[in-house]
Amino acid sequence: MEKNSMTYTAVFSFVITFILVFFLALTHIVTKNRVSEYKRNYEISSILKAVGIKPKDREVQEQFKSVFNLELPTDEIMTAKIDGKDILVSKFSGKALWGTVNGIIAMEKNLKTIKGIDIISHNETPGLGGRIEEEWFLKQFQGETINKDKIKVVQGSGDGNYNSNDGIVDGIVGATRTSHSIEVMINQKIKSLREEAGNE
Amino acid sequence: MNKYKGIFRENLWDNNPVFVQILGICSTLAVTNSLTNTFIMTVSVVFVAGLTNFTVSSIKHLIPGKVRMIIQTLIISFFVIIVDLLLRAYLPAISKSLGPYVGLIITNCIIMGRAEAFAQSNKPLISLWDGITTGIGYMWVLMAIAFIRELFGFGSLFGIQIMPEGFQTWTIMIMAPSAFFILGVVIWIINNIKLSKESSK
Repeated sequence: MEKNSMTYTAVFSFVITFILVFFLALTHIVTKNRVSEYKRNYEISSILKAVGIKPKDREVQEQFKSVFNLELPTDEIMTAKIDGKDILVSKFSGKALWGTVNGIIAMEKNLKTIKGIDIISHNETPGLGGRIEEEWFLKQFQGETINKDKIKVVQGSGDGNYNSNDGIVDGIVGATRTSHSIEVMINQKIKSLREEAGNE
Repeated sequence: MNKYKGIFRENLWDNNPVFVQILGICSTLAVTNSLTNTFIMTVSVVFVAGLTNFTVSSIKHLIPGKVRMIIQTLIISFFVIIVDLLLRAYLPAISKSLGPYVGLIITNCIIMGRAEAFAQSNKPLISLWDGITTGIGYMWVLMAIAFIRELFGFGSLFGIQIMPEGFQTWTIMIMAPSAFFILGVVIWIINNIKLSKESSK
């Protein structure tokens, strides 16, 4: 067959695409279980971190079970008793600069104090907005009391605001839009948690 | 053997993809604020460039001329997705911190450039070598830039704190523009070295 003919080009393109996609599908199938197990464990670790428990590698599922009395995380509000206090845990998500941020928020039952937050996934710029995952940023939320129904993420020194009575945390230097998005999505979550509690 | 040695020297220094051909600049700006990320990213490029060259060279007689570049892109995408899947499964932490950049290796002009300029007209084994050494040429320049950026931007190297306590980190180093300036300085210094070598001959 003439190499530059239409038929040859079409057949060749089809065959090579078929071979490549076949191997991709194969790799996907081989790695699928590992990836989904990792994702699940990562989510559990995030929940544990949000409630202030240090996740131990490989034992996260047992840790989760003993704290929440659940086999696996659910999309509903999860409850636990930690240090004698009732804690509510919920997933939150929202749009940030480049994509959706998914995270976990843990609050005391009165819905006035944040126990802690953690980020499960995001698409923010590494080294800038991506720093929402860093410990110094997340630590600011631990024990934070909410002022007038809202927390504020402000342009502070950028080193972290660890005063837990003012309802204010420092944003990330150079990532104003991501910082603002976090503020919006957390405030929305607090609002919806309060509405749900009010309806009960 | 001399041919292999010549290609090695060519790709690492005389015709380096980053500072001579000025290719792959986007990823140079994007990932070089951390040595670990840069290392994994550049190893992935070595892998993709080598195997793409090898594959393109192996089937070059079969590829119809008019879809040549589309097929090359297809092959590059294939290897990049393989790398992405493997990172997700075996190095999830790194895969997370690299974010969308692994997928963007597809758009790295170095790989397409080598496939088109070298693999199309050479034998598979030497094409594989050309791809690998081009990747290494890209790697060492990026690692050098990442070294400077991470050291001053975070005060650490490979995530290990190096600078003394109280060191004021330079936020500009974490941001993309700093890579732009550092790359400019690197190109300037290397061109000077090359010029002075040539003039002393």
